[in-house]
Amino acid sequence: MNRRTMLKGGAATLSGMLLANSTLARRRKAGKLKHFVFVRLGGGPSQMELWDPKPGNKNGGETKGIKTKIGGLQFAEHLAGMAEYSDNMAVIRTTSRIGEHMLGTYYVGSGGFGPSPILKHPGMCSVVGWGLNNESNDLPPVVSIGGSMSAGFLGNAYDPYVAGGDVKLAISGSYKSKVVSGDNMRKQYYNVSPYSKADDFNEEIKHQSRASRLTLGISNKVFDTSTESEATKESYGGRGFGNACLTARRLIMAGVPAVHLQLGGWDNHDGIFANIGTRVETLDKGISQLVKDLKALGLYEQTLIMVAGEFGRTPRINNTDGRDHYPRNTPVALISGAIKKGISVGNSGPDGTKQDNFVTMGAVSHSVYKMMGISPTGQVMDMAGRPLRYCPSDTGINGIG
Amino acid sequence: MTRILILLLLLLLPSLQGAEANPDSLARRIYLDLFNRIPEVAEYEEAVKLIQEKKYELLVNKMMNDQEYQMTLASKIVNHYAPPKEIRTHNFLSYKILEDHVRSKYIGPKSDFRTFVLDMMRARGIAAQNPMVLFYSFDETKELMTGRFSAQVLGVPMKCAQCHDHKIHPDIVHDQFWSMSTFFMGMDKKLVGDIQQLKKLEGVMAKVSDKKAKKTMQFEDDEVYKINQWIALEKEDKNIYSSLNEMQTYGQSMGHGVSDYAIEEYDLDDEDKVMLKAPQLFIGEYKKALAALTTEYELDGVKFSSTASHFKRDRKLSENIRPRDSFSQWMAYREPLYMSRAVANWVTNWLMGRGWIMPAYDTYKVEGPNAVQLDKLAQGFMRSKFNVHVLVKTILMSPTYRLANSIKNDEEKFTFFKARRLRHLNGDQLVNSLNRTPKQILADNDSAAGSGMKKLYKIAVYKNDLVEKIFPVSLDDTEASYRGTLTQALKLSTDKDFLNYTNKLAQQSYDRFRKHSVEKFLDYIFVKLYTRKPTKPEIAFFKAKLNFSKSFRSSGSFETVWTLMNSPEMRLY
Repeated sequence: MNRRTMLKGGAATLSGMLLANSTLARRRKAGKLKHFVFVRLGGGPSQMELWDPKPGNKNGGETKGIKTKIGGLQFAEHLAGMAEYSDNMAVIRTTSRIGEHMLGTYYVGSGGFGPSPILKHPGMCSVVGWGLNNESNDLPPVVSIGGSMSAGFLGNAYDPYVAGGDVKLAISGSYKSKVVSGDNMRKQYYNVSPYSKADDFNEEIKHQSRASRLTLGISNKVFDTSTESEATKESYGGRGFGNACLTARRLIMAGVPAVHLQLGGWDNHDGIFANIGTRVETLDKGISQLVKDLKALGLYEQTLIMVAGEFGRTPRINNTDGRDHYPRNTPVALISGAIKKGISVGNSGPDGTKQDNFVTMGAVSHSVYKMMGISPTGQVMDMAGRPLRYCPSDTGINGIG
Repeated sequence: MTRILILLLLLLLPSLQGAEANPDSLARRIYLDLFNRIPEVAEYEEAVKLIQEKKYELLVNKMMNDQEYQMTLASKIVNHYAPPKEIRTHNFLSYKILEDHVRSKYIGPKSDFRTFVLDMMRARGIAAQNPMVLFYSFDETKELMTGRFSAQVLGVPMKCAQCHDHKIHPDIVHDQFWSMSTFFMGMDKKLVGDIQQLKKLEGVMAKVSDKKAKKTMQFEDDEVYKINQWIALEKEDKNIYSSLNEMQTYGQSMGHGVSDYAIEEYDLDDEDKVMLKAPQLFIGEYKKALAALTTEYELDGVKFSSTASHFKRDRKLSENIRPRDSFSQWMAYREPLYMSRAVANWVTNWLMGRGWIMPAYDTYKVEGPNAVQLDKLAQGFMRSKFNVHVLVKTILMSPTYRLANSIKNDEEKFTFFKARRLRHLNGDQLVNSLNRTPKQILADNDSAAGSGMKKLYKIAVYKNDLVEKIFPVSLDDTEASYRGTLTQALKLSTDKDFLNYTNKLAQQSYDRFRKHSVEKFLDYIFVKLYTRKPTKPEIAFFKAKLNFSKSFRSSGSFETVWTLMNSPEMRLY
């Protein structure tokens, strides 16, 4: 049966399609993990300055290594915080041939798909938001601080709500009382509108009512970090990425399934050793404090944090003391209380040029979805009955998921 | 038997179709489709009058002669054929420039659309000189380009055959995909964003100037001249923009600095300056002979090689023609039915919310009554000498276009188009509707030449920002993106720009109508936002809420306008 036959098909086909898109089909089993945080390191971070340093080797440059709790593995010197909880980490070396920023962002962000002229793949956060969405919560299923990939073919109900640094989801003072009375008027108006029986009208109402509850109710407080003490803010690293990590903690506490954060400045073609320390420390401070707080709140076991950029960087140092794009070693780190024993996947050899036992991004997303309780081999049907996969790989990584 | 069934269905089609849309609904629809915005009150009144007087065709002709329609059409063409937004190499203003180029060169009243396809497919040179280069992206591999152009131009989803023989169309085998990808092998794409990259391009051009290399690289003399001229100006830091008009310059600048002119004229902040770093894309071709091009590829561990040939291997390739020239001529002139069906389908998708064939990019070997309708349109397009306006008008005049909206999302109706499903305004349509029309902007009375255009571009920046706020991720016209979302609802109800707009509209309307009547106020607001007059129950409802004897603040005007702006109908048509 081809898809056109399906298009013309009867109720049986339709119900099959509906089942494929239903919540039941999304959840393979009730997983322990309820929250996913994707930290995108924009520009392509150097694996040699993060989780795969090569101190003492010519390619290692000036970066020193520090001990971790994963046997034999060192982290770069500025990741002291992460090294402390490395027994809850999976350090994964992935490989691809996509060494361009936009394509790499798509590839890593979608969990291993390349851009296609005929369809848009969902970002990993949207897949998790779709899989774990809880409609009883007013908050969006996916929140992105700074922008991220769309939900693609999953439909824009799972597109991330993109919040800038200063967005508080609150209506400015002078308009608030007017909007409150406008909102009351609107609820009554729904009964009078001639469109009130239209399917699309009611679908819009669902979103608009939820938006009102969120903007006019107490839920918007989740975005307002001004109530946090200065000491707390400082513990995350202050403004920018630190504030984003703090917001992520508040969103997780409020029950948001997927949060996307980003930290740019990793495209170090020149003078990498002069600049990288501060960047890595910012990352380490923000994530480490987030982990610390999640532990204290009892949410660490329910949260998976994934840190990745669009590709890695060349093991060899270039003429301008920098490193260029190197997708053949694209580093990924998973952090969660649900990972009980630290694991290192792949081996880049003593000088960082080998790719022994490296995996693909598809294998990473497979394992992530499996950990989150979302079937990695699941499919959704598009309008024409074409089955679409949100994870490109049939297999995950041994020992994870 | 199948043919008889199809004929019967076609005969029955008119009786299966539903009622005609009322004049209000039709006026809203045609303005949103052709002008990408809701009509102004005066426009609404004129449109409804013409429809009621059975002069719908006059309305269509009038609108199709308008600059706004041409701008919309150019924008639709660019959005259909340009790379997807996520892999575009340039900033969005560069694509506005491309829209303007398409509008001025390819969609005149008698233009042959094949010329556009030809020039797009064979584009080469530097973007500052030839905006058609922008139909390519620096990032795309030959595999991606094959997938994109086969779907967009031919309506044949070859992409699937990259990794395996096509599962739905088994006669499209993987060898054909790789064979087609060979046409893109000789492309030399360079992104020229800084001085180092400029030097590299200079190196390439030095080779081109060498007679031997020139034979291989096949540059036209005027291309060499223009590119060398551009390099020379850039090196002197007097970039070429001084010799181009304002529209061509805006949105483009070398990475090494934005012109003082742009900063001063457009009050650019730091973010804008970064955004304006629009690198130039250069496309050349370093291999000439098709016979020399072979693609090696590997599937499931088996190695293959493929040489260039056309999708339907019905003729030999000339060895004296550049690969993309050969490919584009074949697409546009030798097999125009594929291209015409694809054009007919995407134009239908634009005007009706979905193509005759879904998915919209796959019209290959489709059967059934919708396919017959699509073929009829495609044949008409060919008979009209590939005039896209004839195609647009045919659709606008068809009974299907004028059907009443269905309030139920019943997919079965798609097969016969017996009702029109409700559509959602996209970000551009919504933001355009809340701003002055391009016509108003162009008509602004500044004496300086081109000042209207300058404003248009400045407003384009503002609108883009606003669209990104409401639709923060790039959405396209796919089914998945049609639904309203929480994010959009949140932005609409909290964004200061939208609240300010609501307040301004309420205040102005209150001032204008408070001495007349609540009914007139409601008539105006309803037409302005919903393109219709209020119903009796609606008048009764709002009359109970409005009190014009009180001040604006206590009159209920803001609440009324906010309610209508933030109710679902605002985003439906």
